[in-house]
Amino acid sequence: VVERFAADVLVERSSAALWRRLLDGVLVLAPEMPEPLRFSTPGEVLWAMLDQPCTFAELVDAWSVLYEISERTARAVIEPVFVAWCDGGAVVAARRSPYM
Amino acid sequence: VLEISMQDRLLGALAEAASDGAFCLLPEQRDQLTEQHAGSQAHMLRLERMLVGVAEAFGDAGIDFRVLKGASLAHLVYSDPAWRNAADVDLLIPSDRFDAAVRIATDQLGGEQLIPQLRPGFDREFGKESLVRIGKFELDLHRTFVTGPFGLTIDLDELFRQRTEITIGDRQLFGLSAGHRFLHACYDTALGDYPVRLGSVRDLLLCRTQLDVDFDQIVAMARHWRGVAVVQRAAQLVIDTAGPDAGADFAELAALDVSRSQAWLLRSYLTPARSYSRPLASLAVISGCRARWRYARAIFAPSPAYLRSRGWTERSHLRRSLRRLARRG
Repeated sequence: VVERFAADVLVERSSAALWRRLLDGVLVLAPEMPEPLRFSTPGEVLWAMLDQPCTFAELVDAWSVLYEISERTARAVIEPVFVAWCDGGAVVAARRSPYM
Repeated sequence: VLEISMQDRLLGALAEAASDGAFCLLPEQRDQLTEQHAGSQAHMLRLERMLVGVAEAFGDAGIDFRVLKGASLAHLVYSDPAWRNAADVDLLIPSDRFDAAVRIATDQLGGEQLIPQLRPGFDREFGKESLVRIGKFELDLHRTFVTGPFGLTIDLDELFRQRTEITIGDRQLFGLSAGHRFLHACYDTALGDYPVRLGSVRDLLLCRTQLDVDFDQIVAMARHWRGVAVVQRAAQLVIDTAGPDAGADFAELAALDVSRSQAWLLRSYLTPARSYSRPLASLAVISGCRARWRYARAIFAPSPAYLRSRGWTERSHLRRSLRRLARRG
C-alpha cells in the first residue's frame, strides 16, 4: 500500500465498481473481482469516505479520529480492506494531490 | 415473515423496514434477514455486471433498448437500490431489432435461448419475450410488456421516443419515461402474476410517487393502448392490497369505466386456462387476415423445435389445448 499509494497519491472509488449498502456493511463488485466482496460496517464507513478523492494517509487519519484509536491501529484495520479493493479495481488512483 | 417477503419479492422492503427501525427484530432474526438480503444483493450485482456487458454488446450493434423492472426500478424509483431485488435482467427491445438482439445474446455472449420461438419470426411480430440464459443468469429480452391481447395493442414505438437515464457502474443506460414506467407497473400488477405479488403492488405505489405527468395523460395513453381495463384493475388491486389510505391516490383510476370488449379480454388472463385463452383472445386484437393466420398457425401448429423443447408432440399439444379450454368452458 505504501508503495502503490504514497502520501501524495489520491485514491477514489472506481466509477466502474458496482456496490450495495447492506444491513451490516457494504457489498462491492468491481471489474476485476470474480465475485462481490462483502465488508462489515467499518468497511461501509471506509467506502463512504472514498466517495471523494483522498489519500491513504487521510483515510488513516480520519479513521483514527472517528474511532479514537491510534494511527497504527487504524492502519492495521483499514489496510486489508483497502488492499482487497485496490486489487479488485474497486479503488483506483485519482489525480495527484494539488496540495502536496 | 421472511418466507412471505421472499415469495412476494419484498425482501428489500423488509430490509428497509429493519434498517429504519420500522420493523423490530430479535438479534437472531436480524442476522437471518441480513444474510438473506446480502445474498439477494450479491445476485443483483452479478446481474448488473451482466447488464453492463449486454449493454456494451447491444451498443456496438446499434440496438437501442430500455432497462425494465428490477435494475431500472432499483435505481430510479427506490430510495436506495438495495431495497429492491430481482431474479433476472429485463430489457425492452424494438421489434425490428429483436432477432438481432437474441442473436447477439446467444452467439456473441454465449447465451442459450431457453424456449425456441413458436414458429420462425413469431417473437418479433407477436411475442412477449425471449428468455436467454447466459452462464448462471437469465436475460429476458422483451418485445412488449405482457403476453396476450393487451401486449399486442401497446404502441411500442412510443416507448422508445422518451427515456430516463440510469447510471450503472460507469455506463449510462436508459429506462422508460416516468409515465411509461407507471403504465408498465400497472401491466405488471394487473396481468403479471395471478394472484398478484405484493412486490408488484409496491413497485406501482413507488412509481406513483415519481410520476411527472397527471392521471389524465396516463388515462389518455391507456386509451391509446386499449389498456384501460389493465389500469383500472391495477388501481383496484392497489386499493384492495394496500388499503384505501395507502391506495387513495388510485381511486380515480379504479373508478375508470371499462368497455365490455376490454373486460372480455381481461377475463382471458384470469382463468386457470389462461395459457390457452390469452392466445385465443389475442386473435381478436390482431389486425389483418394474414397476420391473424400467421398467429393462429403458430399457436395451433408450433414448430417441431418448440414442441420438442416442451416435451410435446403435435397431437399431445392439440389434445392438451382442447382439454384445458373445455375445462374452462
